[in-house]
Amino acid sequence: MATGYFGLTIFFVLAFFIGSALLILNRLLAPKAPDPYKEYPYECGVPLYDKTTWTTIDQKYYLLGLLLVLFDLESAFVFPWAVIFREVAQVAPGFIFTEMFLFLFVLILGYLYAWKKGALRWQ
Amino acid sequence: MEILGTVIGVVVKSLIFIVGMFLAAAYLTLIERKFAGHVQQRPGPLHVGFHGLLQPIADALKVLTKEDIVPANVDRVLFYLASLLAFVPAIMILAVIPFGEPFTLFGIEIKPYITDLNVGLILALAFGSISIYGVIFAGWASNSKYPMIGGLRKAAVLIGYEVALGFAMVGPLMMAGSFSLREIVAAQDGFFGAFIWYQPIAFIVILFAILAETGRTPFDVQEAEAELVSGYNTEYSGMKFGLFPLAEWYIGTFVLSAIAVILFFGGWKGPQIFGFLSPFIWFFLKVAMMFMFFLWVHWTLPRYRVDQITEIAWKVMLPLSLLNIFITAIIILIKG
Repeated sequence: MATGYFGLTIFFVLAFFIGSALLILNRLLAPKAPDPYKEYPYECGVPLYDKTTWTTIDQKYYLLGLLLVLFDLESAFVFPWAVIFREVAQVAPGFIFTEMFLFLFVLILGYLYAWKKGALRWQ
Repeated sequence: MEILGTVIGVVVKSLIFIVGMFLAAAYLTLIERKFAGHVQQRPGPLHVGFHGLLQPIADALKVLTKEDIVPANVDRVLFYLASLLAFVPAIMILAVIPFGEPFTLFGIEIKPYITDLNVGLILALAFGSISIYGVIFAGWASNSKYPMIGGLRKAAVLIGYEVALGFAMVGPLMMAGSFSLREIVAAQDGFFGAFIWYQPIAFIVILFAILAETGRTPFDVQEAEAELVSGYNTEYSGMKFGLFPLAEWYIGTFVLSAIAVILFFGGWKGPQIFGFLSPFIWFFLKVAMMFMFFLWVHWTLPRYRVDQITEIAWKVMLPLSLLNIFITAIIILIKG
């Protein structure tokens, strides 16, 4: 198994180096003709109104982001259960079924609450 | 000495995979442009080589020799990092995809995959989620309005479909009882053993999720060239720009199609009618069918609005995938 992760690491290093090599190659090969207008952010040719966009932006899905944390964690708990489901179902079918669906039931209640409260709407 | 041999073996194999993926992605661009052309009743690339066969090479050279413009007020580190962060995770999924069973050629055992980890599917899911940072960083680092809006939209789309994708994969996992992509393929026997017959709901949810993750048309709000110029990569040029569509549209769609084929269509299994090459031919045929399906959707459908996309994800796809888990569990309990 250790060799498996070893292969993955080597693949990552190679992919990273090939990606960076392409960027560097581009810098080396490309012509350079600096021009103040080229450094100007795209703005349809009108003068730049706002010097920066790094201000507060109303992104309208803050609650969805919170729900993502909740449900992604939940799916992390469901995965191991799913893998052993068939195996354990032969020995203790009632146990493995109720165990997870009790857990899911509580979360689905929370999900319905969030839905009713309008957290799933684009605000 | 033995360790050195393994290292060299892995390096050579990884290089073959990465370079092969690059060549494949280059020609996937040609396929897409030809396809798009004929959908819109125009010929597509026609003049470079026979029916545009050399067009990908011309495009690669062009992208490599374009001026590398960095606008004045960007966050330089993140600006460069963003294209790498889009590209590297997309190609990392390739490392866990098996293209067939190990076979012996001239007395050497060849494994047509980089690694066969027992958490293969989780890794694929994880790398898929990391690649979203590329888009968000690109949007933020550009310090310009259109990229900013594009990056935020992409984040909104992905946080919805991420959850649905995770839950939809639970269905096939329960059927196969393993995270290893090889064992998932091994669990699907014969034509009617393919999981598509047992998991149609999961398949539909995963189709939607792949369209959203790769930013193809019904869900391409991060690009939305009619409203956002080019979305998150507006300020990019040269190879920095080239890596984005390469990673998202070609490598991303290809590897996610491969994952879908492994999960639902029995991977490389098929009648042995092409001799010892038949696993590869079947696998690539199936992946090509999936890829063409995504192209078909991309070039046919109009675009959703971003709030509609997130509402579909949270109000339709998530309940559907939960329902699928429930149905699968009951069927397994009844049939044993």
